[in-house]
Amino acid sequence: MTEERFEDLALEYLLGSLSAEDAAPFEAELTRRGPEGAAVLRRVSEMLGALALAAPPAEPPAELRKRILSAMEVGPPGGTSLEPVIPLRRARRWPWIAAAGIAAALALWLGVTNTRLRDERARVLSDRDRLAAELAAVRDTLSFVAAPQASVVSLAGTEAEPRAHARVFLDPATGRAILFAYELPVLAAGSVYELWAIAGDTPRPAGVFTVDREGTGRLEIDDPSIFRDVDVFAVTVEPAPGTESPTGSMVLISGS
Amino acid sequence: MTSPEHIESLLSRVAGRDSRALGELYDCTARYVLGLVRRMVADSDAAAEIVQEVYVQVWRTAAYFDPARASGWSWLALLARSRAVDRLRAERSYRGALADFEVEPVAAAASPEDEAGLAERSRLVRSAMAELPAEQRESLELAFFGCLSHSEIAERTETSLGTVKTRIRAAMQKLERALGPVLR
Repeated sequence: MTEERFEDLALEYLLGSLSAEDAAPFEAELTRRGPEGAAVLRRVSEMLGALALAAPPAEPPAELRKRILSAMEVGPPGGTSLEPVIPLRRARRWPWIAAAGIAAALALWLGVTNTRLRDERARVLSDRDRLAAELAAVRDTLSFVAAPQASVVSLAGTEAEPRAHARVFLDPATGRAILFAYELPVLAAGSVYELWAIAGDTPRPAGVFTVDREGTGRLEIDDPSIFRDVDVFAVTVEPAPGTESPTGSMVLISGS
Repeated sequence: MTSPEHIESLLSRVAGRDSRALGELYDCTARYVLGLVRRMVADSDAAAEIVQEVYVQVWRTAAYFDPARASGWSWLALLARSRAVDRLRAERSYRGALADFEVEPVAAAASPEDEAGLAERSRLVRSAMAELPAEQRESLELAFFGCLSHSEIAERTETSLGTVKTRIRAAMQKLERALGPVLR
């Protein structure tokens, strides 16, 4: 790539008008040139910084300074996640566009080594996918528990965990069930809670779960054979990854 | 008059979460940041919002400022321009990008921005811009303030893409020669 061509592309790069077609060869050339290429970018940056001063200065509204500094004061003094935009007139209507713009602006600045921004973008996209999956799961759960055919079985805490309680939502037609458990203690590593579907004197293992810091656990079961002729549900503490028959202390049990 | 390093020193303090430094930075630069944004965005309320966003972003990201890649003012100016471009692309409310460049007299009174040397640099830049051939100045303004790609400028000005590139390159070279002492 000639020097002239490289400088043309550097200008378009910093102006944000570089075409997708030119972006890859430019970035490759920038990497190849190393400090020399970075120096060209800096020189063009300085030219553009100077060009910005060609606009006639304008007096900001009197309240603007105060608004900005007030926004700073409401944020955490040592934090870095401050997001204190106070709308002057109205809420921003394009939060996604604005967020993308921030990334683009920073990318301009970080120029050659914008790895952190690429990582951040990947993280945001990953978060988006994760949240979409979580939302889909929540919707699925809601539609399941709200279905007219769903039956509900309540489990109460035993003497070992008197505050604990749980519910099993069961669809008799499909055999699908979801257990929600609350106020159970977090177990030591190597232990799990195990749900039992007890028919007569025979306990069938129905799956294992753990709880979060709030003591809430969830277990989904998709095996209709487990729930056939069930009289009682119970939860015990078992060694991970679970056992075929109960061995540990019982923490939850349903009425028969 | 203090050197342009003053802005970088303020950015360094802002990176250390010194809100007073942000206030000083605002006092030194806000008139120029708003001037730039107003040159690009028609709506004065929207321009003020953008300026607010810019300084909030400075507060959040000053730690990433690297003086090896750009001077403090250039970092701030390109940040402001990027935010204005975002708004323009969102609203498609381009101001009359073909409007003639106004060469206005700079206030003689000493003001905080003089401390950062921006008033003098602004005067030099506008003077250098006024010296450019009209077609070169127009192409450069459309690229920088009008946010048009080179192809869009060619279409707008009914010239070839090659001509646009030549004009912009020539304008940049002339400005660089004229502004050499104040660029670093």
